[in-house]
Amino acid sequence: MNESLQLAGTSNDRGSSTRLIIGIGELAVSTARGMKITTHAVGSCIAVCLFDPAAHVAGMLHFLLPEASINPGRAATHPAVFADTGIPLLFQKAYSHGLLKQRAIVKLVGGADMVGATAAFSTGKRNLLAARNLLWRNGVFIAAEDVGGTDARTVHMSVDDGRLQVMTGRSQKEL
Amino acid sequence: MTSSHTQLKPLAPDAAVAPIRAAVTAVAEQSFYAMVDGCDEKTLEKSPPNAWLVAMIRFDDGHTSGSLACWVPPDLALTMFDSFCGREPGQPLPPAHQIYDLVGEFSNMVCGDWLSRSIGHRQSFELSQPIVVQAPRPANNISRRLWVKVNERPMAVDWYVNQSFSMLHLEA
Amino acid sequence: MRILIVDDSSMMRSMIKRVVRMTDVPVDEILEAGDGAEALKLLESHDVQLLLTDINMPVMNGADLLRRLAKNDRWRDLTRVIISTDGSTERREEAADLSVCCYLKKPFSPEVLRDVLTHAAEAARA
Repeated sequence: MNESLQLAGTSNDRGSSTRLIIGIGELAVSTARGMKITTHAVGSCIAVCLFDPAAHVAGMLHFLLPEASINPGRAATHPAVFADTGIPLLFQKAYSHGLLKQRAIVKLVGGADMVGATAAFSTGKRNLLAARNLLWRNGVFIAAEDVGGTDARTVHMSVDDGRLQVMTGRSQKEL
Repeated sequence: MTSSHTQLKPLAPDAAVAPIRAAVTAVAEQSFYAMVDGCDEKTLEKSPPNAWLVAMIRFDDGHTSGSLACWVPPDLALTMFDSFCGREPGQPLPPAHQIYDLVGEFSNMVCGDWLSRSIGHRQSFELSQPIVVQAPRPANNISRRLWVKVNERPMAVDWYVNQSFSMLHLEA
Repeated sequence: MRILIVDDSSMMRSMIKRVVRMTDVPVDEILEAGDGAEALKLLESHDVQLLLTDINMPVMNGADLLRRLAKNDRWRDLTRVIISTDGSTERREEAADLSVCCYLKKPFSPEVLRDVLTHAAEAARA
């Protein structure tokens, strides 16, 4: 069964029949062939992308901050905003579509050192450390990363094969 | 082993702060997923007054010897354990001796990384086994004590280098 | 494959074991030792294909262990990996002379260890 599913604040009319677009503090899981999951403005945030090649399940989370304890009220209504509530939620949703943890291919994008407040608090680095820590403590390796730097990124993920296209300014990278 | 004329960096006590801080950061980030920042008095005042773990390592690179000690508050020691060993949520708490071991290994890695930065990448060194004991919170105002904040909790690093540091090492 | 992990820190051994179990490397048994002397005893009594050893250890350090192994043809096919805080050129050159396959400097991430293990396991199976 092919199914695409958007959660945590995405609206059904964002995207198209072949593209799901998620924003900051949102996640999506899909098994729909030919589908792409896209997120923009991955600055100090992290896009956590996972894929199970056997079950053809793909998921993406775009989180903003490392810990829900900063704002428990917000975490309760918008768990995808934080790494420690969003990442488990992403996995749970993916499990419900057949993803197995031992087959999951996980990639991280983002964690840039942006100007302004996020740079002063090193939010990008804190987010990256939080994501890596959570994944390790849950027995998951990171297969690939495109992280750091000072530029925001756009990520397109193919649900067919889990490959990422990462756009930074005028450059593009495949992961 | 040594012949001519490329000068290695001498291990000067007063130049230790930056490489020690860099070593703590490298070890904390890569193996413990921990954020390292500068420390302030308020963070220190809020920390537990007792039951800190202090892990001391002695080193000798054949020309210079000394020691390094890391002071870790108990709550940070447990967090570091969880991050390093990958203790999954819901698993039982570790016994004390494992946390002591972990703090010792942290100090071991910091000392090794510091020496690698300070004496150059050519020269090897020997490290003693860490000695880890429990102690009250260390004093704030000791010279050769670097304070940092690791995951929002204070940590102190002491170092001592013997007087032979002033000899320069020459090698091919 | 039988793997022997040698490090005086039981938590470091534990972390390495966890990474081994998370990889696809086919492992029959993981042995542990706290120093080079203990490691030698285990090598004498077990058929080990892959050795991961620290350098700075009490009783017998990793360099001495590797020198002992190099002198005995019995361990000619044993794949050797060093995992150490000491990443100096001097140690690396010595390691190359002692048939060390990979040299991993602490600190390291689990992913870096995974890559070293995968490479070393392939060498062990070859």
